[in-house]
Amino acid sequence: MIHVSDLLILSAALFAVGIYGVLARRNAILVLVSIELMLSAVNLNLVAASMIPDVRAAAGQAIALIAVGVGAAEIGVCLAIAVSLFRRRRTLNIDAIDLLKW
Amino acid sequence: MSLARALFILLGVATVVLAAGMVTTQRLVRSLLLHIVTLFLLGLAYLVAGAHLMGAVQIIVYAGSITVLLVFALMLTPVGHGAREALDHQSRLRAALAAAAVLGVTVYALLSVASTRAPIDPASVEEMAAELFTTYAYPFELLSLVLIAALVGVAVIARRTTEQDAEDEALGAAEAVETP
Repeated sequence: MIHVSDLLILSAALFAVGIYGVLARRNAILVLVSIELMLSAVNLNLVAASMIPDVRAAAGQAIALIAVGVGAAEIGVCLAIAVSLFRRRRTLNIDAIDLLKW
Repeated sequence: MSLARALFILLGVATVVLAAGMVTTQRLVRSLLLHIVTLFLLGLAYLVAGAHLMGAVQIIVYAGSITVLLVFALMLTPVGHGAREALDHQSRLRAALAAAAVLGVTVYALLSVASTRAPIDPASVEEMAAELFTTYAYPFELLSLVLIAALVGVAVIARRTTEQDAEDEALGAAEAVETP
């Protein structure tokens, strides 16, 4: 049988890879993709937690499903911002997009 | 070790390896393609683990529609195609250290909890549907509202008007003056 820890370790590994991507990438779209990966890892974690026999609850999967929907909305808005930003600044290099820094 | 567990571990290892390839490759398009395959394999892993509805949604929503959006955004922002523009920071080592630290702490914390060593007990689709349409009915319906609001917002943000064209040109001219 698959153990709960198998799912949790996979989730932790994907999250760590996502963190590396967010920190190491310079293109805004690739940073977004890495954040997406971290979001998937979190959903997997939620589903895994709902599969622990003692705390068994269908709620974990239900909440993860809703999180997927919210994630879809979020990624749409983020990409629209990226496209709009590219139009204005002619770049997606996040080092060059420092409008909010002072 | 049962067949299901072996299959899950195989899928998990493949997912992590492809994800690592996704964050390290120097080609934008290759990175997105690896992202699609990663999310697809994660969906298969959900199916093997018995979370059938979640696996189906993962494949349809993430591997299907979100990556289409990503590819569209990539095509609308033509940076570094073929030019092999550096996609990474200089601080790759520090990023790797941070990721390794998070991985180490999380895995240690997860494995120190005894209840995680139990075999999984997935909820069936029927149970989930009952939960989703009774306890979580309002959040579920609210989700459609969130999606439509996001759609309208996206249309407004990404819209291009003639005033914006003029503004862009003025901005471009101003920047050209600022940076000789």
